[in-house]
Amino acid sequence: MSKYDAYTIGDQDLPPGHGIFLAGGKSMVLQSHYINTSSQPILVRDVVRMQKMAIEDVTTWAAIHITNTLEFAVPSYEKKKITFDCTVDKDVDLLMVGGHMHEWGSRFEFFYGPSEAELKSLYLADPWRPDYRDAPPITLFFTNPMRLKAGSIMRTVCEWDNSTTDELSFPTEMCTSFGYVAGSKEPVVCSIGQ
Amino acid sequence: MAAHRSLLAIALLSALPLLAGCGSDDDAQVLPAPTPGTLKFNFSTTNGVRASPNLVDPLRGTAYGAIFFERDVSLMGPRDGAPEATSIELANVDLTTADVSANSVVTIPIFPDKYVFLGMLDLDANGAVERRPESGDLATLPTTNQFTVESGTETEVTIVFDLVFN
Repeated sequence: MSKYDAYTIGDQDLPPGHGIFLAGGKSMVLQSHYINTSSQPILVRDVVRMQKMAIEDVTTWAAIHITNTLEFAVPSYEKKKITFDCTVDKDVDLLMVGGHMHEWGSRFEFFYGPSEAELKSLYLADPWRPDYRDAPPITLFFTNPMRLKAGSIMRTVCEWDNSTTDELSFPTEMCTSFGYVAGSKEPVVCSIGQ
Repeated sequence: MAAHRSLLAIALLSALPLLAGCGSDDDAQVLPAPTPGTLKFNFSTTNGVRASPNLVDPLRGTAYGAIFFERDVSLMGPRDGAPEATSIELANVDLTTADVSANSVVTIPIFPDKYVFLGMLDLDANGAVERRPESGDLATLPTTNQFTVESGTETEVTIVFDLVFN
C-alpha cells in the first residue's frame, strides 16, 4: 500500500487487546447493494475478513454503537432538520463515531454531554457530501477514548435538502450515527421508530 | 520510488508518438497518442475538521500526497501494487484562516485519465521521512478527491482534507 495511507474505516484495527464478542450458534447476515448501470450482467464478489482472537487474550470488550431514527420525512423541494436524543445505558468508552446519511444530506452532527446544557460536539460533517454516503469522515478516539457515562445524552442532528419531487423518508434517506465503544460485550443500539 | 515511477511515466509518454508510427501501411489508422496534461493543486479542509476534538495543532504544515488511477483505489485505499502516477509536496500550506490555501503546486505532465489524490497535511512537522499521517495530522478520504486529467490542459483541483488522523 502507498505510503500515503488513506484512512479507511475497514482498515483500522481496534486497539490492542480489544475484541468484539460473537456468540456461538448465531447466524451472520451480510447484505450488500449493487446498482448495475450497464446493459450487461456483472459478476461481483463481497469479502469480509475477520480476525479471531482467543477469548482469554481479550482485555477489553468492544461493541458497535448506533443511534438511529426512522421518524422523519423531508417534503419535496424543502430543507429539513431533525434532532433526536438517546440516553447512555451504562458507562462505556467511545472509540469511534461517524455519521450516515444519503445523497440529500446537507449536515450531520453528533453531541455528547451529561445534560442538555453541557452538550459538546464530537463529530461534524458540514457540508455533508453525497460521496460521504459510502465513505464518511469519522472521529477516532483510539488513543484517547471518550468516556460516556450512564445517564448522559447522545444527540444526533441531521439536515437534508430535498431536491426531488418525492418526500424523502427511511430508507431512501437515513439519519444514523455509528461507531465502536469499549467496555461492552453487547452492541449499544438506540433506534427510534418502527 | 515515486520519482522513479514518475520518470517511467514520462519516458513512456515520450515514446508513444514513436510507437504510434509502427506497423505496416495496411494497418488500420493509428490514432495519435493523447497529449499529457498537468494538475494544479491547492488545499482545503472542512468545518468538521476545524471543529474536531482531535485537532490540537494549527492548520498549517506541509502537504504530501500521491496520485493514483481511480480504478486502482477503493474504499479500502489503493490496491496492493497500485502505481503512483506522480507525487507532490507543498510546504507552508496555511489553512488557519483561509478556506483554501494561497499557494499551490503543479504536477509533472501525466497521461489523461481519471485519478484520485491520497495524502496528508503534516501539522507537527515530522512527516518528511515517513510521510504517513500521525495522530493529529490531516488526511484525505479514499475516494473523495477524484478528478480527470484532460489532454494538453492544466486542471485546477482543490484537494480537501476530510479527516483528523488518530
